[in-house]
Amino acid sequence: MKIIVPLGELNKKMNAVSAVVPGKTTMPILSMALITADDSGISFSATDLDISVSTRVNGEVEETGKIAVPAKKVAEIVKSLPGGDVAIGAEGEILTIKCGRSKFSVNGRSPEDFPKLPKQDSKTEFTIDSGFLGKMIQKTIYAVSTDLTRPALCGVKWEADRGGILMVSTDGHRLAKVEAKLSLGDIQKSEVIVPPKALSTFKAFAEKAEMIKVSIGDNSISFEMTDVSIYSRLLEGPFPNYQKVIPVKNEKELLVSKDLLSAATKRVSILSDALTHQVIFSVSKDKLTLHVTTQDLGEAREELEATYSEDEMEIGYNAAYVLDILRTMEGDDIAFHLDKPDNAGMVMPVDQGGDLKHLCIVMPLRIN
Amino acid sequence: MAVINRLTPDTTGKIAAGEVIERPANAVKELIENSIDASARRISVEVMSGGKDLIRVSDDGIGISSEQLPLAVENFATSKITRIEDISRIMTLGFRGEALASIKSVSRLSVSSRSIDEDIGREMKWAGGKLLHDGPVARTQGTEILAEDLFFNVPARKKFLSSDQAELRKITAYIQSLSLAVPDIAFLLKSNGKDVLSYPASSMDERVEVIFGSGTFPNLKRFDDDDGRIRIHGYTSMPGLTRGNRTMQFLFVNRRIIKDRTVSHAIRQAYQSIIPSDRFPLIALFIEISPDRIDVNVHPSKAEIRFDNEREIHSRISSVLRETVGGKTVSFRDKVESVYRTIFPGGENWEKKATGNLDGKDYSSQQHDPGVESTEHRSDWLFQKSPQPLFEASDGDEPASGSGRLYWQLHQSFIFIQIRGGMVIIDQHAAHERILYDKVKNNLSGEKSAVQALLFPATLELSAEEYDNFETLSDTLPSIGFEVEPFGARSVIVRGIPAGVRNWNDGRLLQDILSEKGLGKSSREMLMKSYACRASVKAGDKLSVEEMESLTDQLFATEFPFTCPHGRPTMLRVDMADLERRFQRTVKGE
Repeated sequence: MKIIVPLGELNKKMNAVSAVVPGKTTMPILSMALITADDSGISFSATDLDISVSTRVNGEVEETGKIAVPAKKVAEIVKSLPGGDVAIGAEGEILTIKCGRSKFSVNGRSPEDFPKLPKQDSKTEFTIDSGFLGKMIQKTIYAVSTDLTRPALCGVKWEADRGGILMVSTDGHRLAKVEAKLSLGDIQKSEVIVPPKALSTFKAFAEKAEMIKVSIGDNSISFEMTDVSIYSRLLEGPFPNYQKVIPVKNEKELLVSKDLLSAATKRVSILSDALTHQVIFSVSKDKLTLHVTTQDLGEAREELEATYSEDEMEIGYNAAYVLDILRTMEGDDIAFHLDKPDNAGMVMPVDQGGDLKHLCIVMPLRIN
Repeated sequence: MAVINRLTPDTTGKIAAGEVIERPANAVKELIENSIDASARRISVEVMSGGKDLIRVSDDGIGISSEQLPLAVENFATSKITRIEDISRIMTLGFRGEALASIKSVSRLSVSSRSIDEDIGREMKWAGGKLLHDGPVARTQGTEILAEDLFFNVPARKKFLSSDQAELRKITAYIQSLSLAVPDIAFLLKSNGKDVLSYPASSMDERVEVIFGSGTFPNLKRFDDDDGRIRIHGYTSMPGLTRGNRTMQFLFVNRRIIKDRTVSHAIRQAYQSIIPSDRFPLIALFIEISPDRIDVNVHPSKAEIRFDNEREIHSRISSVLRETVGGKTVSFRDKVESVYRTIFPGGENWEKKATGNLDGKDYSSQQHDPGVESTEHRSDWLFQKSPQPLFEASDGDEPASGSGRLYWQLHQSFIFIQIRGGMVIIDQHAAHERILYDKVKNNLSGEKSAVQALLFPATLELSAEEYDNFETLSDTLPSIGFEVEPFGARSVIVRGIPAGVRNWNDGRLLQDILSEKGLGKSSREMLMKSYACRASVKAGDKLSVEEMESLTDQLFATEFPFTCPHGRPTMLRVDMADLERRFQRTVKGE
């Protein structure tokens, strides 16, 4: 194998794949990246067995071939090179990197040792704007659970059919749901649970606006961009029945400015309990008061103008949960749909904007 | 056929003596108490063969007048009370009027004394109760009692005495304890002609230092709680200093050495969760109380005592000790604060550090915004004082968010923190246990608990035993923050869990707590410990830099940051000096 790649391109792509390489692994081959040069071009691939990334690399193929190389070391070498084009070659299991007057020979492994990148078992395929997909991911990824005893909650549930796509996530304390009405063509309905690492890896690579291809199979999902394709395993269900916990009779509506509420929540939560982050929301006629009282620490209080004309009440929330919601909501104002202080609160942007329908549910943090 | 005989006075004397004088140490005790009651300034004790052959106690007290001397050795003859009602007013150590009479009946006794009002003394000698000698003697003011051949006429008793060494140890221990109550009296103990101990008259501080040792003394803390009726004062050890038994616990009521379950229990409770349950604090505890509020006439040895209000005594002891060793007293908070400041040099109100950063587990921000602001800020002020970080930023091997320089986790179990002059190692599990324990304790004592309501209530199926425990605890669980209701046969439904709990594990946490053996009995403490243990991070849990930081801050905001609820240490400090010594570097840095 012999290829020539401009340093900038090499650096970027090598870094990209080495991000997927696991930091510690009992399988040394997983710390390798696979370099492939064939008639269709050059590609780098890496996998941690759950996620695989392969990226197309712009360069010249002088001689085709394959080699597995230690990803982090090679990325480090490439990063340190002074500039210009880099000639990369492979002789058996030795990788050579030449750039200017520097030359490195790095011990690699046979490409045969590298895990076979899995075959796509695609059942549903559609194309979607990468920015739009990224936005939907951003609105749901934060609410996934980290409780490994319920693996299904550790991912984002996707439901895709010809009418659009829906994503929902919950950690049992809160829930985020976003729904997009759009035509995905004549596709088979599919419901899967996508691990957050696949989604964050996708977000990290989706840097330009383009139409990408999403393929969903029984056990896997893949994202194909111009330069990069990401393949990930799916999580096993069942995902809980989220529809039955979405409140239907939350009729007390509170409208408030998103930015003002966000700033006020951050301020008062400085004095909130380190463990619970509790902030009390007191609602009364056209007013929302946030307050925090923490023993040994002190009190904070802030009043906000709001639109509200129902019963006065006090509800406690985890400030971090509220801030997560506010961070991901569109528009200037948001609406809290409340019921009793003990019941779930539902939050939506006042102006949903475009084709997205976004809602969040947050369970109160009561004081006994 | 056996004939019932009235016992001779000699026999009854010996039997009664057995109750008071079991062994040489008892005789020494009775005699020293007499000397103290006689306002002695100096008491010297001499023994031979552990007191079996000879016990001599001499003092410079007010003495016994010649005419009263014969009376002093009679049964139930005492100068200390005259009517039974007087017992409720005694401030003296003795009162039963049995001591000398008892010793007289089981030994060869000589008493020589000159009272303060007389020019010449009187001396009398007995053997087994029989008068052998009586006459005037020239001597200084005070009394000298000499008891030889103890139990020479009660072979049965003599047989059960321990070795000379063991008997001497008992005498020494007794004088040590008693001398704590009367620091202004000088004591001298000689055994077989050699000095065993010698305490000059001194202040209380000095006497305590002598008895506990000068290495130990700095770790004792003085306490004093006086409401005008009852004064409880003394010295007690800080949590790091404990013993495997109660030998260094000295308890006194009105200068009398006592053994009392109520008092012991109060001490134990005060130290509960601060020291391991099989360890005991070192303590000298003095209760001063009006004599009419106690009954000392429970047992001839006078070591047992009854208080008319045990509960008050218990709670006062327990709370004064608790305050002294931890929590609310300014001095301990100061100490914690000073340790905290060494670890985190920097200004600001240190307790504020205990809260602050909102580290909700935000997956996306952890992935994409690694430079969390709070960490950067913290690292700045920390490193101003320590220009050479011990732990350099990891080279990507550990993709932890944040700087990775200040807090470093070893084998996902211990947190290493560089401090000026060394490092602190925190056991993450023990530390988190302490934090949760304190939290739950506050909840159970009335502080409100925060409940995170669950979006999907969890249904747990319990075993019979677990369900029993659930029923026992159904009143207590809500105060910790569990909202649980029965849900059909042996099932419960959980609608809310304590806010901030890390490993709810879809209900396994509660099930594990309920399956704890013996939970029903001492349920509260057990529940607190069990919850703290099970809900806390474990060895093997990976912590982010922010989590380590928050854990450390919260630990220092607890009442007893240095130990976990089981009494094990939460942190170790390693000084550079220690390391240098271990690497055999000289102090000058060769």
